[in-house]
Amino acid sequence: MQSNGSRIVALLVALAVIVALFFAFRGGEDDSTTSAATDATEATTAATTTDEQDQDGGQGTKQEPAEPEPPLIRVAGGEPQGGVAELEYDKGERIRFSVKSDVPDEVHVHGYDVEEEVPAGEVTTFDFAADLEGVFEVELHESGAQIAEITVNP
Amino acid sequence: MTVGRSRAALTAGWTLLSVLVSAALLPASAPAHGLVGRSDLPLPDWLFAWGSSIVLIVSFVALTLGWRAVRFEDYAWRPLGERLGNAVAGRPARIAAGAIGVLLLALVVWTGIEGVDAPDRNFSVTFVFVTFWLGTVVLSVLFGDVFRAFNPWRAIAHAAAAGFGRIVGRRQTAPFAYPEWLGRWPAVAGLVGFVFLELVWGQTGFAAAGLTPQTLAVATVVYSLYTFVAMTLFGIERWTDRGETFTQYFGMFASLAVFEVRDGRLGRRPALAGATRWAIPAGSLALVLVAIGATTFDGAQEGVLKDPISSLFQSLGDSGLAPTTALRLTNTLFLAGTLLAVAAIFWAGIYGMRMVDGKRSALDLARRFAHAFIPIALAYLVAHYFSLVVYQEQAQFTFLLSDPFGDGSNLFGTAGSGIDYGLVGANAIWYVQFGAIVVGHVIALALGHDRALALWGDSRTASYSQVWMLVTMVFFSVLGLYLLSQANA
Repeated sequence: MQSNGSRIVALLVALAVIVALFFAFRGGEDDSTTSAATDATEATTAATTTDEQDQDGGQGTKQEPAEPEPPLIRVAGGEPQGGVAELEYDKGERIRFSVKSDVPDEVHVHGYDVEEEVPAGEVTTFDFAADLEGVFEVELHESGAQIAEITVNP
Repeated sequence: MTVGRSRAALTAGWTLLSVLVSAALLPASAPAHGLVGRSDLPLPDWLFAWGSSIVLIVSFVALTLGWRAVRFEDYAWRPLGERLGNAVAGRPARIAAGAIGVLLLALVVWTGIEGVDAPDRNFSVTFVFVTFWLGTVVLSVLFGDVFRAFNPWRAIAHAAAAGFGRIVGRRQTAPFAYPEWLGRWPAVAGLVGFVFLELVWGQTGFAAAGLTPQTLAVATVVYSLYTFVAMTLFGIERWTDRGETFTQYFGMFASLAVFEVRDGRLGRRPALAGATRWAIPAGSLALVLVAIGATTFDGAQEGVLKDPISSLFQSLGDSGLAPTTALRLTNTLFLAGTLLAVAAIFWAGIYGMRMVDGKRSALDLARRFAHAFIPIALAYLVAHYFSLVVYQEQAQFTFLLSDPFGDGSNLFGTAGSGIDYGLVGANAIWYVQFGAIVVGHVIALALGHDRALALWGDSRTASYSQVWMLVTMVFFSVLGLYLLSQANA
């Protein structure tokens, strides 16, 4: 059927197409990462509960323009209000969020193994470096409920 | 068979292929939930697009430029040197391997019953679902049918039979002949049962309880008793060769390996060639499809199927079912649906092939091509569970080894160590996933192409028939990449 020459040509063409596709899609990736990153920052800021800032902002938190208020997760009866919070970061950023529960509990960030008591009715703020990539669960030890999902992109 | 008919089949095949690929590019999103508190980032869209394109191009090249002489069928087996063969497959090695298997089985049951309830701190759960279930697949592909040697049930049964034979003065023969039509079907049932235990019964999330180490221990004991009864009825080796779930499941992947034991001697064969003889017993096809379907379900439930599962769970819960029951019922239905869907896709390809050769029955064709899907089942496993193995094995060999019961003991001084989730980054995981699917696809194509040549002789008919097999394989490979790109997205 085909000669060896035509086979080699066809293989080379296929290889060339694959390489071209790699750069075509790879090029698209750079754009999408930057836009995804900005989306993520927007989403994170949007996730910050707006009405809570009015209530809790007055109690001692100083106005520091460089550090925006971390998103607050309110827990009532062992369940997160408004569903599981989705927090997204890029590697190297700082993971910051606050938890306020109506009953005392313990918050556990899987993978990072951050464990912290949350006394009833108080705002406890978490702040640690996003140095592990992946999707991590944040759960309450007492109630066993998942309250947040932390996504860390490379 | 007319040329016009084949051309129609060819065109129809490529059209279907392009429809499938464009359908796979549809967007979707869902929240995530993992079994161990950490899950993989979704495969980036560009890598998904690139991977799918490569799968398509590679398929096309394979179809037009594929070899024309049969390569893998009727392969040669050459024994390795006497000394090495005896060291690996001889009697002392067999006894040692069997003893290790029995020890590990006992440890699973013991830690399962006596150890802590927390699945992540009890030796049994990680050992059974990660080290044993996934690790043995890796060993099988690399070294051949290793599980047969370590099979604890076979070892116990042989020891018991030898002891009994000594007492009564002669070896007993099995009272029943194993029916040939039953083939690998008991293993298929066992595989479905294991997958049910892992993915449906053991699925945490929502408000349901997961799989406790105690349940796992009980399941292990029940399976052991069932195996001993079956071995007594049909004979130890006969049952191991056909009905024993794990020997059959791991043996499927071992058929790709270079090493093969024949008559107690270790030998070499060309890589992949062993698979050509694997699918002969009845039920083999079902075993491959269940293996693919189970991983598909596990991948889909953390992405594509997340929302449908969630809403069915909600409505079942609203209708008065307890959360645990509702979740298990939901997952059972979706698991069954996924298995049926995977089987339907496979059979669609087979019926397409019948357009090229109407003389062969669909079942005949299906059995002849079943083995070509083993690499896809393997690719799915590697892609979905690579990071789980990397992370959980750190636990297995540190704190789960030193503190198997989770009671605070420190046997080897490694109880304080944990899992380093920074060991492999997201990029490394993505490239392993992508590489597994593409390489698995290429190997599947090679096996399918070779079988088509062996079956039809002339490369033209083989190519026409191959288009359909190819469509099915492309579908599974692109689906695999798609599930990864949607997982936890």
